[in-house]
Amino acid sequence: MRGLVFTEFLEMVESAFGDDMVDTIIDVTQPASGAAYTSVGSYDYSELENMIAELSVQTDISIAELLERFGRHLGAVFSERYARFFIQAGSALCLFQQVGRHVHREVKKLYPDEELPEFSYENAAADMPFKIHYRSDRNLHMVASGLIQAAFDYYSEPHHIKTSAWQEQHKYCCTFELTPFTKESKQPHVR
Amino acid sequence: MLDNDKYKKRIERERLARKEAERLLEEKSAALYEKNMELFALSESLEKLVAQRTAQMQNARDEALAALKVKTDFIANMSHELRTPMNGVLGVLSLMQNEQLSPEQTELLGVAESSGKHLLGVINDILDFSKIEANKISIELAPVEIRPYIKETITPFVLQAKNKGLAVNYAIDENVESMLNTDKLRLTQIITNLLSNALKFTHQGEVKLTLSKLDDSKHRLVVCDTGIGISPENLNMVFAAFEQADTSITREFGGTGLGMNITKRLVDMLDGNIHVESKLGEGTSFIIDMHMQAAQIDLNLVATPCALKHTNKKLLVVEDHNVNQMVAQRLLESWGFDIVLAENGLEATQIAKQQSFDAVLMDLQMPIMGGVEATKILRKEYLIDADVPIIAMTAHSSQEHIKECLQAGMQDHISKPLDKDRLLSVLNTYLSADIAVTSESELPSAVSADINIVHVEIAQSLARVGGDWPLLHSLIQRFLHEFDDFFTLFSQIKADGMSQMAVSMLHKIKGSGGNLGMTTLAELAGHHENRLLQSDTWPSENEIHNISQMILEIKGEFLALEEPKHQASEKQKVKVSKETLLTQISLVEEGIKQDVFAAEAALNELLRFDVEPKLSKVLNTAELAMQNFHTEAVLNALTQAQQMLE
Repeated sequence: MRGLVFTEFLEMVESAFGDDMVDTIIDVTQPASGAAYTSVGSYDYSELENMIAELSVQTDISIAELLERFGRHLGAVFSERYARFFIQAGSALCLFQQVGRHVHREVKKLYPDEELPEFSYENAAADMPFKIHYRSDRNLHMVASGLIQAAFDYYSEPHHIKTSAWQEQHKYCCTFELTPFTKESKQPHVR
Repeated sequence: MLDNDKYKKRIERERLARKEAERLLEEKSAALYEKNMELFALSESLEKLVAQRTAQMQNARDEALAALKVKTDFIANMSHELRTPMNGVLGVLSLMQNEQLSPEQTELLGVAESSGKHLLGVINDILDFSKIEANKISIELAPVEIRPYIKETITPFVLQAKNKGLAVNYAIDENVESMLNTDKLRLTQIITNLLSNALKFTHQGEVKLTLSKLDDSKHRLVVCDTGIGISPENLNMVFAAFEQADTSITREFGGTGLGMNITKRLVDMLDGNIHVESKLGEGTSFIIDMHMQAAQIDLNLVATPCALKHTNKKLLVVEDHNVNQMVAQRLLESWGFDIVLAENGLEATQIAKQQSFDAVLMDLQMPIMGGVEATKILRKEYLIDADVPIIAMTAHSSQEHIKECLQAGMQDHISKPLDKDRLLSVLNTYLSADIAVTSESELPSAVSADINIVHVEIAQSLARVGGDWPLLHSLIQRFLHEFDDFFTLFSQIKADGMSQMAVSMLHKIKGSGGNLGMTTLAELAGHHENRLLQSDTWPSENEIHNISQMILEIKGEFLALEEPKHQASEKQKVKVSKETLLTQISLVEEGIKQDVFAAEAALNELLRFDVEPKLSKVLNTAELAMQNFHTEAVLNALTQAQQMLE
């Protein structure tokens, strides 16, 4: 897994829970890399899994919740680092579609060994919700959920995100149904 | 302490991360460098490959061009090889027509002749297709008397059609001019192709050719038949090369499938267009609209040459092919010519040394020595008189060949197979012109009044040579020849400081120039001669240039003059004995070995003697050679003269 994910995860932990929490989860989980992560490196996914599990224990916040927060953190980082994509896309839904079509394709060129999640889209009719289907070897659909939320925040396009996840053999699947808020409806999302 | 450990750990982690990042960076940049080098190598090898391929392409192109040249040469040679025997066959047939024959024999002979001509046409067809392919065909427009021409072209087909029980008819509209400008050879090919095609595919009824006038420059030629016709889907394939309407046609009717393609290309070349209309089972019409303008008639050229009896005219026929020799000899003898045969160019030059001729007919391709080379030698060595025409007989009738003949010193060409009328007309033209020139040249003094050369006072110098313009002409020529390159010569002398030589050169110009009426030039040379003698002052580069320029100006105008006729005037001729003549000849010969001026004087004396015409001609050749400082040719002519006397 790309080093950027690890460095940003520790950034998030540091900013949300303090430096000591970073030391704690590293000390407890003893990652093989010694947690000397660089964004240009590549590290074993289990190290992240272990750190998140330990963080959940330490903070008493569910893993899903932590992943979702991490997703939003990543989304904010991306919108600064790769602002070009956000500006070009112009809207959240366009951005999502570009992730599958262009972004992941380019990532594959640079890092052919990288295992990326698959996304597909469903835009049946104007009055029906826009659907994103997620498939991955890793159970990280909540990170995706956070990323989606971050994008809506970036474009100030409030949407309701309905998440339904399941497992299919060795794949983790999830469908996100995105419905824009009407004037009357209240934002249910707790930030 | 606890905090200290924590910070140490954190710093250690950061340090490790930095090192890892640096390692990765180095690894990536090394990989990048390697890829970059690979790209360089690739682009270099691509460039090499491109250069290599370009060289290969150039080689291939050169080879293709060479192959094309070989093909073109092959065509030219084939043309010769195929047409020469046909010339023999057709020539013999033509000779037989002069014999006493029964009407039946005459008709049979006619069929044989027209078939022979037709075969010649087929040979030409194949050659033409190759030539068209190689863009080697040129159109040569000439006036054609259209009515007899069409009749003659159709005649072979009338007989052919008769055998099939068909009729061949033709109609030419009354408003079609009698003389039209076209390329006869190509038009014949077009008509022949269309008629033979029509006859091939017609089993009953008729084939008809019509010619009508569309406007002043456009005429329509239609060949229609009542034959099997062509289906609509096959109509557009008619003009494609190697195509017939369907393959069964090739089986049933034969043919190369080239005819219609050649026809269309020829029509294109004649600035026309051809199209075909046909109904299956009813017949086919080929319609050609092409540019053919009414021709301006030159009566002298058109008049059929009457068989003048050319008695006492002697022709040298140079031809290696036995049959062609015989044809030419019989034909020419029937017109009253005396014929001498030569097997090749070398033999021709040897014969020409011993005998004189009124005209030479020269084949081009011969073993040992070809016609072009022989002509060059005949002209260069004055083996025949300058006014004796050399006429090429050639199976190569391309314009390039004709040009080569003319450049070698020939006056005209006739193509083989020999056309009786054309041959006679050419001979009449040259031989009667020859007579006219001779009669004019009997009035030599009439010429001098019109002569004008810059820097030369002609009247004065003519008086000096007793009004003998040919003599003056040759003297001026000699002078110009000697000082042709004055500038270079004199500059070199000056650079080498050889004042003795410079004085002698200037002195010569002063003396000779003065005598020849070049007064200004003579004075200028005298002036510089004096300065050089008295004060050792050399003329400047500019002054040398001025002298040279004046000589060149004289030369320019001199060369534009016509050469004078070289016959000593009849009125001064003196009758002498054979012995006197022989003595005078040996005087000239002696002179050539010792003193050219004495030789020239002796020759002039010799020319004053009254001799028989043949000898006179030989002596005139000697005179012409002398005027051109060709001493060897003079000696040749004199030896010949001695032999004639003894």
